[in-house]
Amino acid sequence: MENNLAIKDKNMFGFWVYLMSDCVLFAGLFATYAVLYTSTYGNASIQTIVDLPFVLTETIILLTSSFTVGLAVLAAERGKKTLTLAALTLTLALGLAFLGMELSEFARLAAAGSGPSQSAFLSIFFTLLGTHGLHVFLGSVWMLVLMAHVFYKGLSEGSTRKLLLMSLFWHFLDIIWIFIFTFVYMFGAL
Amino acid sequence: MHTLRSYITGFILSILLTLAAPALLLWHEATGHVFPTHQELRFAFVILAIAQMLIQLIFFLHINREKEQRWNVAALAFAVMVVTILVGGTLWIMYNLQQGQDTEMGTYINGVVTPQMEDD
Amino acid sequence: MTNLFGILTLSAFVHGPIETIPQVVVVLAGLGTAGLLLYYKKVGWLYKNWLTSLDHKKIAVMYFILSFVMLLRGGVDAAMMRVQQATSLPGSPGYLTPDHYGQIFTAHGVIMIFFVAMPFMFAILNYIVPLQIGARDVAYPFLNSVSFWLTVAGAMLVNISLVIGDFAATGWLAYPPLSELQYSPGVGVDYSIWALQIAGVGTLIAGINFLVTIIKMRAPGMTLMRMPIFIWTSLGSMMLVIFAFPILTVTLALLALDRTLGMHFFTTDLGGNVMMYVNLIWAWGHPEVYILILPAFGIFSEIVPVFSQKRLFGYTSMVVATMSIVVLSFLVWVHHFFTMGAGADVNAFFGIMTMVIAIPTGAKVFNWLFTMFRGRILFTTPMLWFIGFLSTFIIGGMSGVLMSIPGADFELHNSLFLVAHFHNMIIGGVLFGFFAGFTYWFPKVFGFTLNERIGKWAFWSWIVGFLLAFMPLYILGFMGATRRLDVIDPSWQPLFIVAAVGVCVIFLALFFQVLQLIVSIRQRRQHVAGGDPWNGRTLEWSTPSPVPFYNFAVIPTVDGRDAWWQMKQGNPPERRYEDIEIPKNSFLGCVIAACAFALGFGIVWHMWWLAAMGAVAIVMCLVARSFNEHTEYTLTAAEVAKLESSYGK
Repeated sequence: MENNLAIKDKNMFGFWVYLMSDCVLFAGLFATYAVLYTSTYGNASIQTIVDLPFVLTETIILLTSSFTVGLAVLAAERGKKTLTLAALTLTLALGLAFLGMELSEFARLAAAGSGPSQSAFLSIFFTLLGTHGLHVFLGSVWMLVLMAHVFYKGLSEGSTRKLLLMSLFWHFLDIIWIFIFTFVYMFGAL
Repeated sequence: MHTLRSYITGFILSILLTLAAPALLLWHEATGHVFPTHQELRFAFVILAIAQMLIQLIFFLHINREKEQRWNVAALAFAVMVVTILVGGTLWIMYNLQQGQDTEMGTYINGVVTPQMEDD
Repeated sequence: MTNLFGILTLSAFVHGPIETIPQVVVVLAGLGTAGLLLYYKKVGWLYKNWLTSLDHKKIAVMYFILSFVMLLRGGVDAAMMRVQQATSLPGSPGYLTPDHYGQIFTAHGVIMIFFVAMPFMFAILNYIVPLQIGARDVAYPFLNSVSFWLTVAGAMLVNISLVIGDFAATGWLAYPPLSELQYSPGVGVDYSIWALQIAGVGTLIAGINFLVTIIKMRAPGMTLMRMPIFIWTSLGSMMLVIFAFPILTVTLALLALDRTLGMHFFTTDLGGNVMMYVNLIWAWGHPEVYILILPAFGIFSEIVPVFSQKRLFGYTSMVVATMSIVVLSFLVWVHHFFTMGAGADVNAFFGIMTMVIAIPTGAKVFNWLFTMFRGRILFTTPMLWFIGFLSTFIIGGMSGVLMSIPGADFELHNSLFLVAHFHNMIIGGVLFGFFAGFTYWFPKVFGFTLNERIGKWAFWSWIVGFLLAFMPLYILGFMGATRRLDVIDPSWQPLFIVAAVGVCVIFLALFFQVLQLIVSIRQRRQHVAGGDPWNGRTLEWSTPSPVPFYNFAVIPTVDGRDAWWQMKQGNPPERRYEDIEIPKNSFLGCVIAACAFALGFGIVWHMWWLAAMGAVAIVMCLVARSFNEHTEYTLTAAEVAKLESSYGK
């Protein structure tokens, strides 16, 4: 017989362990980037791709969304349904804006003949960023589902717990982005 | 701790740490690409990234030294170890292998010595 | 509508004469199973009691059945290889084409590792881990079901490749450039990639599940240093799963992107780096072998004390050895590619680390021996498996340490010496360990003991067959025979014939194991096992056999190691029953796996609509599950009392 606190503790730990496994997944991609980033085969290199104002905008957007999802968790823990939904909507909008910007960068590169199949560097560039973006997309879907939960059934201990887990995921993705920002873009700007 | 204060502090610090990196780059360009050097900049960028990761771990992900977090910290430590070994080991091994392929005239690829490509 | 079927055409169903036999077998087996179920009207029973069950004990049995079925297929692959090599000479090249031979040794490896060894391991972990820690189930019963069914989906992709299309002919690890589209233009490599990706996700989820179970669901009083060693080794193995399998996921994904979307991670042109694949795949591959062997070590740590009638020697050093192996297994992976061209410094470091990792294993061996010393040994079948393991595993370990020296490895890499080494470890170590666990815990799972006499025949046949099949390979390796040859040098033929005889003896051993099951089932009423037929030391023996679906009516309180042994010395504790929450059945595990199969099949055959539907359906299933608020039912204390009294408590 488990009480609710034990269940919450178990679920938090399990989700955290999953996030740690995801760290290793991204580590594999970062290692591949480190090995392949100079293999540009005459096509675009990171130095030619990097657009710092654009990337900084993306970063600030994602960072702000990390802040607003934290606000959503705080509101949920205090039982404030409308505030929770508002913060989540803002987070979702920022997340989708981030994805939109990233997709536009991908489209621009592809249209210029620098798509992912044009060199090893481009393959890993698109894949590293794309994997992060896919995680953000799935996190957004999860957020939308939780918003539906809260909207139709109100805030409960269960939905608050799930919001906390989703926020952990969101923060984790922001941390991964810091490493992309640093090792791909900032290093690439040198 | 689940307080508004911790989220605001984390947010502001993260913004500052994020802006610090391009600021250093601007400084480098302003001095005519002399100071800080590329190597120093890379070092600084890594420090800033790790610092921001720690800030977010502490203020957003609520990692601390309390008893409930012990197993999370243990899992994180193990993950850091594996990531370090994977990325560090890969870099050491792959660059070592690459050196084995480099000759004076170029790189040995598929049985042919190929002069260095511009960006390699 | 050419897009509807992607690149799938009728020609994918047409195979050569030899390949048509397994094609027909698979179709008949599938139809036959379905037909039998319908005829005996067992579909509903199977659905309600097994397929949709979230009970870890039922999932364990299903994992075992999957493992056994795939063992038959992997074994047939091995037999076909042995026959080919024993009969093929330059000029008379045997009955298999080189490409078919390539598919056979690839399928053999993929099946044995991913669909025999891993499921067998999860079968044992599933049944025993919750019981030994005094828990009622694993941490996430629904995800447990999903993990199992995803493994089945992966196995089905490998099996369907016998019917439609063909399989990879690249070796089980599918090195590029051979596995790239240019040199493997068919669908075989894609089948392999997606079978492993899908099964791999199942494995990762199970790893998280068992780790959280062990960390968070132990009975009150069971501190870490009071856990059975089997739990420690399971914990170590799950740590390896969680931190190594993502590397496999990434590597296979990058290969899939190369093949399906034309990217250039591992191609020989446009900047790809073939060696990076080898580096990444072995960064996963080495932890994988420790994932398999650690639970086997743990099983022996349970069996040796019970059948030496003496406490395990050196508990603390066993724990330290286990955790050392976990850390060290991330530090040796280059030994799988010493010959790829890294410099002396890299090779020397990894060679030394490989030697170091032999040390904690040696500590374990000595601890088992010291446990046996001055014990009163009972030579039951499980104990025989241990002794068989001890003698063979040590040979395999020594051959491994020999190859850990890079200079020696330059001669022996990819020779039959290597093949003998790893089969020595996996059969002599992993398989013998799992067989020992199977015979040891069978009475607990099914309530009756296995026939000891036939069990001993099976053991002796296995060890004789294994030695005949693999000791010649050590010699052949020294004689210069490399692995994966479909045509051999005539001077090697006598030894290959000995090896082929060995495989026949192994098939005799498998026959005995099946016979043992049949005879034991027939005689089950005369061989009823109580809760504790071996006078065991750990908590699983405190339950009735078979175990009630709720495991423990009262969660035990633990105050030392060998918790059950302690309880047997003292007074039975007071029994106060409480309400128990039991997970309800769910069909979503099956559905998610079916969608995953559709996703994999769709990608393999470029039926993008099918793949997309499969992916979306998986998400929808998970969303639907999240809206389900009634996933458990309550077993009241009164009902528990009634059930317990029927067990005589």
